Amino acid sequence: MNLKKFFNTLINFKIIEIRQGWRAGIVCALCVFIEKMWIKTETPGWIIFTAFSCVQASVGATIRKSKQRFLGTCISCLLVFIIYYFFPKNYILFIFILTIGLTTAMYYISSYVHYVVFFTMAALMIYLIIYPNGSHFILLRIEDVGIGIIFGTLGSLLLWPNYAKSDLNFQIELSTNQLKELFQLLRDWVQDEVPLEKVLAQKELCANQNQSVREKLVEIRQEVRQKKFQVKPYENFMWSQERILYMLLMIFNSIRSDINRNHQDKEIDQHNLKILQQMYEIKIKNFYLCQNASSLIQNAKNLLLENELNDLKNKMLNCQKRDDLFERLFIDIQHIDFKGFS
Amino acid sequence: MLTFTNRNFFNFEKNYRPFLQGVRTSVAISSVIIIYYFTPGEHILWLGLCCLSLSQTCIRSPYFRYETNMLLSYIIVAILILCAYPFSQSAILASLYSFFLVFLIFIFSYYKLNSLYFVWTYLIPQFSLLNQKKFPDTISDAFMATIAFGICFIICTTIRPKLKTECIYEMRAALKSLSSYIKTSEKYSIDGSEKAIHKFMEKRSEMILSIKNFRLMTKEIEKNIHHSNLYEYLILISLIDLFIEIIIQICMRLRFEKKCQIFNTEEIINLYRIMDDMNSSFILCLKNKINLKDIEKIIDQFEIKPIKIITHHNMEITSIVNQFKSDLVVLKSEFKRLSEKAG
Repeated sequence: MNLKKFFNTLINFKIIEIRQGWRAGIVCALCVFIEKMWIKTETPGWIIFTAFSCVQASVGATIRKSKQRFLGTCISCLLVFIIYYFFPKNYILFIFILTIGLTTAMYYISSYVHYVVFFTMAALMIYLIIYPNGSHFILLRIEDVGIGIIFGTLGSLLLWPNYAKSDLNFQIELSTNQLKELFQLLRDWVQDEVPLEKVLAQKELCANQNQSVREKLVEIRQEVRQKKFQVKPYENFMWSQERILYMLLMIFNSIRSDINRNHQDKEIDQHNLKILQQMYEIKIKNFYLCQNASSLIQNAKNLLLENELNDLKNKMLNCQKRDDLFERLFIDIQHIDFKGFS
Repeated sequence: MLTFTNRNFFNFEKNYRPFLQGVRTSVAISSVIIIYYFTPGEHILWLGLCCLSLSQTCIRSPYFRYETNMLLSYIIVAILILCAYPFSQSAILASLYSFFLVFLIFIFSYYKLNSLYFVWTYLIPQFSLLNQKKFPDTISDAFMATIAFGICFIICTTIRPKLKTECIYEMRAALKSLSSYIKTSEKYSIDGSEKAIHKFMEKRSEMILSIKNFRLMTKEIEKNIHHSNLYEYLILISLIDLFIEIIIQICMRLRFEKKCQIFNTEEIINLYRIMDDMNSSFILCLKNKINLKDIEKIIDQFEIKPIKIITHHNMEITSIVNQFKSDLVVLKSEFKRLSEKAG
């Protein structure tokens, strides 16, 4: 590996991982310093780990995670306190809760609150097993998690703050570009210029990117009041993007099945290539036409060798005029600020 | 929110891999408690932490087998513990080392090596840094980490991840997610209220997560296909992937048409029922041993019954039905291609 390139990477703040690394690193270093100099708690690791886990890629994500962590910790500490109060020094029960808590925390990963509740229960049970009179650890946990959350949130707000709102346009642009790339790859694949695997990989990238934009929209809701920022048009836009993606996948699958049916039939390949070329000319903004034009494409596949593909384009464009479905889609698009998009 | 009544909570096959990970971790921690019974002392907390962290390294990585991954993780952790000693002597040095430990996680993540050093493995050197006061503490921490590695290695090779079982569970989980996606999509199409939209978005994210896991599994199978007889699994997993895409596509169109008030509710419900039935037959197929003949039988049975058209939008309904039929033809031809390839 080129060392110069490696060190340049370490200070390249355009890379999300590196930026987050610096941010989280500084937050944890400060936590260690302040803890060693002034706080001097019994369990410093809890503060540092909470601060680390709360520092997220954007301010919205940090706020969301902090709220969830605090809620989960409070619920868990309350439950542990009740158990400790009614069944003090019942080690069999503590071990049982510890194992069940750990298994459940790892297994039920779809909710962060669940994870925190069960994991905290398990962690506190270990302390209660080792320190029979260690009920103060319950309060200590809430306190340390609270301090960690403050450090994490402040770090996220003060060190190169990354607001989901400001990142949204870039993410949407990325999503549109990924889709364009898929489109280009499909064309190249029909011409045997790229392998199938590349198309499949791009297909996954597109789906993941769309999901990232959706997550950004959820994060924005944490950052700003809903009245101040209209999320709906963006949601509509993403919805359209997904429709385009699945439309492309449908075309891709049908081409794949055609190729499978008769691999030697170059005419079919040529014909499919023409469809893609034609669609490429219409470009990304007009992809909205594709959904309703899908049946046209299906029918056209049997006819187009005679009629040529210019007709297809006309049919697609005429579709817009005669069909009110497209009107509605274009109304959605008009609400979106396209400045951020290429 | 915290809902224990949620049916998914008790559906362990949906999160089979994390479930096994949880079992492995619990067994490791229970072993530590047994050790504590014989040798009580505060050192057990540290051993427990090492076991907790190292048992998380038993994960599939794109580069190494999980045993190698565990070993490499342990070596990194041990080196970091030993290097922590000089930094533990003052608050400023400890802060600097903490910064390095955290920054390292993101470097590993950037170079796609996050199976070796990640949040869980970071905990060990970080806690060790805070514990260390004299050099014997460093040696003791490294020794405890070695014992923890031994415990975790034995447990993780005993309760090892089995590819075929995981594959079946992942497929079932993806199809069950699809089933709830179909149901919420149907509700959203008919209802359209904020609550229905929220529920739909939730299911949609769940579905995307399932597909992600599912595709990771496909790569794993493709990698191991020559070592063990996994062709049938690969065929089925590819078909289910395609099937999910088809259903999402049709659901999208249906939602859109309904939004534009083109369809009658009954027509929508009929189409959703057909999709749900197809999905259920796939799930049923996975309850038995995977057999190519059974899969072929199920796919051949896929057909769209005639739909009673109430509204005057005959063209749109026919268009969706035609698209669905054409997609099913694609599914069948894909099955033939894969079967021929597998011989």
